[in-house]
Amino acid sequence: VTKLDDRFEALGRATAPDLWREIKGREPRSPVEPGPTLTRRVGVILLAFAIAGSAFALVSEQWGNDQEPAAPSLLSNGYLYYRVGGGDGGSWWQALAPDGSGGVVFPPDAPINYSDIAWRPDGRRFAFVNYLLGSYGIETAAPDGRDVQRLTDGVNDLWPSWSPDGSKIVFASTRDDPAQNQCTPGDTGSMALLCPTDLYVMDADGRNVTRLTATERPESTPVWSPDGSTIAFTAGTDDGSGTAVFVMNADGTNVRQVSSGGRDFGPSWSPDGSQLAFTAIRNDWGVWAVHADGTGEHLLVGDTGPYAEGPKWSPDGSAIAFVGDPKLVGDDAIGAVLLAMNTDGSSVRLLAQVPRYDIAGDIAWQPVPAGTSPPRIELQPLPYRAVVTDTIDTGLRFPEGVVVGEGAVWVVGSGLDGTGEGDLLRLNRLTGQIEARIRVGSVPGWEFGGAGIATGLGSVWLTGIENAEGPGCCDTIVSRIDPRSNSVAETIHVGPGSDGDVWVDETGIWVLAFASDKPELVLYHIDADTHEVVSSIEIPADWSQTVFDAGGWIWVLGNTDNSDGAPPGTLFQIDPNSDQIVTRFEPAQGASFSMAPSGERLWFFHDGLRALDATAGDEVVGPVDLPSGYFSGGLVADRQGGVWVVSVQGGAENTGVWHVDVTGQIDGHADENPGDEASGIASAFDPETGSIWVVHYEDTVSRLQLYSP
Amino acid sequence: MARTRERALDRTRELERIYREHGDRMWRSLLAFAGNPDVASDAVAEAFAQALRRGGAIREPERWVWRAAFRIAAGELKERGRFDPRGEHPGHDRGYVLEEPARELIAALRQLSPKQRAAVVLHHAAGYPLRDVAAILGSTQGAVKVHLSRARSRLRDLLSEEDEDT
Repeated sequence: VTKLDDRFEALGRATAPDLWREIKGREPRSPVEPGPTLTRRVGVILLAFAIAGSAFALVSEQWGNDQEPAAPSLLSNGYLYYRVGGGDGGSWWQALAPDGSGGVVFPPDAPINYSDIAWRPDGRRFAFVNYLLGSYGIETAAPDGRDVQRLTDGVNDLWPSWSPDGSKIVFASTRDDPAQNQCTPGDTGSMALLCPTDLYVMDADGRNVTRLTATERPESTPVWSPDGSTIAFTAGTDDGSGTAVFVMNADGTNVRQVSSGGRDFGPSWSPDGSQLAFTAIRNDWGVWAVHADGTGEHLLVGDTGPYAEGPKWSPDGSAIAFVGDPKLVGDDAIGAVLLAMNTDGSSVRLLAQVPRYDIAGDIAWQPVPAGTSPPRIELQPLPYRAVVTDTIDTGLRFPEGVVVGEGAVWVVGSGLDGTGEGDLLRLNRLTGQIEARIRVGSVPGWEFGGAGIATGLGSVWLTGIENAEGPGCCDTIVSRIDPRSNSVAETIHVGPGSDGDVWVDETGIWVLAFASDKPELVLYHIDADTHEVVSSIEIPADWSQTVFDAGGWIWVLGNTDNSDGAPPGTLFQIDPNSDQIVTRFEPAQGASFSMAPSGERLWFFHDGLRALDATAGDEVVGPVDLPSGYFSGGLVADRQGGVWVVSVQGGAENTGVWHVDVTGQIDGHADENPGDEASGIASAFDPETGSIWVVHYEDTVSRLQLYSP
Repeated sequence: MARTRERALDRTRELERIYREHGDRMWRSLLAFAGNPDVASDAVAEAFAQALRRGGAIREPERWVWRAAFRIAAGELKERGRFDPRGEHPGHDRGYVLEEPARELIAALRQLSPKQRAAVVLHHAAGYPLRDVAAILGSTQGAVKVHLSRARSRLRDLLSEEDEDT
């Protein structure tokens, strides 16, 4: 019989490799440099050359009309094209169909810096500006982004707009100013307007360019009126103090100012030609309207509150699409979203939103003949993407767990001093900014499972222990943190045992502890209102660190004696009303340490990805057909029955993020490598921002933004 | 600049000293913890590489490196979703020599909870007293004592052997 100590001595004779040379040459895996940060309103503005960033709409809805057009229009609304961007990366154009479906026109991996889109009046082609280095000029394309044809190659050929009969295109250019370099992208709206462009007209095939204006002041953003007789545009005011909206005859004569001026720009005609909507920065950004004769100027939205700009009248005349602050639809998210409103500024509604990224503008509403539906446009599907958008230094030397709830992201970690003390950090779920650092006397030690932290019932809950210095150990406590005051509001003395995990549901607080006197677990049930322990349930398993609810039951993943060499595991199903173990499920034998409860499914790894039905306990899904080969995955529940599988093994063949739906079908995959920084020891999904928060083994936490079609 | 560079060299020398003193023990402990020599090597190398880059920002480098290495290995195990099946016969196909009693020990360690496994490995394989085990695990001595006691009891059952509970 070999003694345990002898076995450890035998282990001590194992030959260890000398790793010092590798250590000195090794590039640590993390933390990484922070990703691009959101720059609010960055150049959304007007010219939209500069904006960048890439994103997909996560929210889109049918724009629908709840208001009859003022006058019958000859046109109906087709696809709405718009550009998304807002960081330092690429941008792309998406399209929103009248039925609310969407797709990509120019994908993010296409050459970027397209801007200034305008539909041909028959809705069968659009013009745009290619602002790519070396490819400057105006081009046209079929609605699906194919069949690109070049019309001009001027370095500052900008803002094409078709004549109503489609035979001509008016645009701005510096072609007669040979000294003029490319107008600098990244200027603010008002500065970009200072690019010294004049207005030109050409045939729709790019021939016969004719100069319309030849002034010292900059003229920009021309738009042909619906009847073809006039052109509205932006130009510097006569006193040189700012810009205003002007109208001139289509031949360049009879120029008159129609908006009151200041910082006005970007006019859009109503389909009946009676009004112009435009952006103005007066008190603040806003969308205004004025009659074509310069009378009746009035504010539609913005100016003193949330930001709004870039209006485009719908072809049927019933609505105006624009870019604005999500606060206009009661959303506290940061960034610009695609909105629509009635033409009197009422009923602002959300059309498309990309969490954390701006809708960059370049809105263009496809016209189709009245009473018809637009021909179906073959758009590229919106792919799944996963990008690490933030990496935050927590200042915790070893963060242990993360949860999302009660309006924030919460990260907990203990110190290195052996006292069990630690900090709970409150992070802004959008920016990752640390909003509070709360010292807690006893925080959960490191573990694989539920991490000893939960949110619910208006609080954040942490397990911990006290009385650890006596001959035995210890008493389990729960610290309740009030998210309003960001402080420890209460310490609940739960009972004997050392901390395991905590879970909160409407029936109360569930605390899993290691019993002190025997190799068992104790599950304490604490009343949701009184915070008194109402029962304790003995769990016949000698280790576990996970308690959670799913399908109306409480579950504990524990072990049973198992000699077949597989990691043991049994799921104990507990009735939250009777506090009795109802049954146990053996399929969890060999289950991974992390289980992901998601709606009515319990996801886990055991010879592949599988799920139990949390109501019946049967194994209903799996193994899921994930790619073969070495696979490493963290499971992050989407809370709707599905699960995200994060696989980020450095150098592995299968890396990326998969989404598996409630039936076990893989319905999304992001090839983009989320990087080593997405691997970690704990993770949590935030459904409101579509992101996964990942805690690393040392002092950082990252946000992995998921982009779904 | 010179002084900064001097300090960086000092820290590198200190970490090399820690590696020379602790590296083998740390690797063996992680082998016992993870059951996989590749995970053990990666965790040791990554922890020291992190420490080197952080330089003077680490106040207690010895504890820091130990804890970081265990966290890295733990993260790796979690990433894999389960104990690496190759750990069933550690050393057989990797060129690392393990005696039979040690191999059996590692097989038995697989059936402990991660926390129990870490506690028993840090105490028995790395030789740390309870106070230091608690610090490395971010726990308290009392809790470590419970995990150790349970771990030993379970190992005794699994290995059918004597364990003088000292």
